[in-house]
This record gives sequence, structure tokens and C-alpha cells, in this order.
Amino acid sequence: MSCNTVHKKLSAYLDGEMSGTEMQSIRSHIHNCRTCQTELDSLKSVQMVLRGLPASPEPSLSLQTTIAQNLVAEKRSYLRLGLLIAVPTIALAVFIYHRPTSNRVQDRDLVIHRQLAKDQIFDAGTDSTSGASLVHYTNYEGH
Amino acid sequence: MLSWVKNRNGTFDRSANFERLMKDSYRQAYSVSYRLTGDSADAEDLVQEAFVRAFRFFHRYDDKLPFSSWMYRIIANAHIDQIRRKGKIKTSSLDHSGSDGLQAFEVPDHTYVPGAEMINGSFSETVQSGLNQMNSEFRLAVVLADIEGLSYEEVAEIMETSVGTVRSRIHRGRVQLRTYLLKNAPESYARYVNVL
Repeated sequence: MSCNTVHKKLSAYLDGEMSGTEMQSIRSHIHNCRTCQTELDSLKSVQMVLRGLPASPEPSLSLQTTIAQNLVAEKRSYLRLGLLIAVPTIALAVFIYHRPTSNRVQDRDLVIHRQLAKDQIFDAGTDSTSGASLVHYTNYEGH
Repeated sequence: MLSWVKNRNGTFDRSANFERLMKDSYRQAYSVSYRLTGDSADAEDLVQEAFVRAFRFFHRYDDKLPFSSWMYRIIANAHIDQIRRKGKIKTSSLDHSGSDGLQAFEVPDHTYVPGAEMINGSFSETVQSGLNQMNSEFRLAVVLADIEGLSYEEVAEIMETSVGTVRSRIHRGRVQLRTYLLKNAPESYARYVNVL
């Protein structure tokens, strides 16, 4: 394994985040390579610096309250959004509910109308002038 | 698994559960945010933004994952958005150099955690500046692994990437920080190297 390859793996080696076989091969390389050993120590010191950092400063006393207020505002915006969606939806539902009923009535009238139009009606009689027999076809439309 | 607060009718009380989780975790969220932003006011803005987002998407939260991990993920995304908004993305060149030295064979000691008393105020600020200079993805990986003490797998889950990528980001982040410390606080940093 080349030093360059080992260098790239040293952080994972330091953290024990690799397989046992890989750990072993890097360990044996480091054992025989002072450059890689120094690189490992250098990375370990960076890790020590980070782990040794003091705790972050305390947040302001108002942070929790501010977060809670933001959540209340978020809930209100949900409600507003809910109303914005619900009101037109309900209105549309009401409209749809009524519309089919009137349509049904209109449709029924149309069916009757068409049926009557199909029904043939005729008058039979004699012509008042010539006295000839007459048959006069008509229908609902004609009436 | 968390024990959820329920309403009288036995339904899940979303607001009450979220508020309880928020109260338990906001300090930790602030701590990570502070390390990511390096500034108290920015950290508070980030935490606030992250909690609003978390509340908005709380229905997607899977309680098999610790809430803190889920929050870290949201904080990370909110932080990237915050950087984009402010146009603050900073990238630094990577240092791949090794160094010469005369050290004997050593097995890593994963249990060793040095005392926090070793870091004084001004050096701590330099380290924070070094973190701020890092590429944001490297910084997040380093903060989660080295400061929050998460495993690579946990970091990968939070960053929604592979363990291999996390491994690379942590390594490159540490190398960047080392370069920064060698340049800006060589004496303070040397004390750590000498400890080894």
C-alpha cells in the first residue's frame, strides 16, 4: 500500500471506522513508515483539538420562547391555509350537490320531449271543400 | 422509541409531542448550530428555522431514528440554505501534504479524550474560525463526528450519503483544519502535537 493511499485512510483508521483487515494492513504500514506515523499523529492532534473545544456558549434565554412562538405562528398559518382551502371546497361541494338534481329534472324533461317528438300522431277526416279523405301526419313538435 | 402524548380520544397530539421534543433538544440543536455558523445570532436563526421546518414535516418523522439525528439533518439542510441565501459559500484548497517526523509504531487509542481545559479562549476562537473556513460539507461531517461524537454511519444517515463519502469528508476536513491551525496558531497547535 502506498503512503498516499494510507494517508487518505488515516482518519478512518484513527476512528476505528474500517474493517479489521484494513486496520491491520495500515497498522503494519505505519509500523514501518515514519512519514505516515507522523501524519497519523498530526491528524490525531486535530481530533484532540476538536474534542477539547469548550462547550458552545449558552443560547439566549428567550430562544425557547421564540421557537415556541414561531410554532404557534406556524400553526395559525396552517389554520389560515386550511380555511383558504376548506371554504372554496365546501362551496364547490354544495354547488355540485345541487347541480345534479336540477340536471336530472332537465334530463327527464328532455327525454319526455324527445319521446313525444318521436310519437307520430295523425288526423284523419275529409276535406271540407273537395270531400276527399285526408290523413294528416303530425307529431308533438307540430303541435 | 418515544412515548407519545395522546389526546383524550387517544389520537396523537402532534403539537404537544413536538413541543416536548423541542424543549428537550433545542440546546443541543443550538450547540451544533453554533459550531456550524460560528456566531450566536446566526446559530439562533438557524435553530429557529430548523424547528419551524421540523414542525412542518413532523408527520414524516420516523421515531425509530433519534429525534436529535433527525434535527441534525434538518439543521444541516437549513444551514446550507442559509449559506446560499447569504452567498457565503467558502471553499478552501485542500492540503494533501504529509510531514516528516520520527515517531514509533502506535496503535490508535479510541478511548482517549483529552481534557477540555487544554483549550484556552483565544485558541478556541481560532479553531472555530478554522471550522468556519472549511467547506460546509466537510465542516458538518467533522462537527458531527469529532464534536458530537457520532459514528460514520450516523453521520452518513444525517447527511444522506454513503459512509465512504463521510470518511472522505471527515479526513479532508481535518486536513483543512490542520492547515489552518498551522498557519494561524502554530504554537498553540504544536502543544497538541507534542502531547502525543
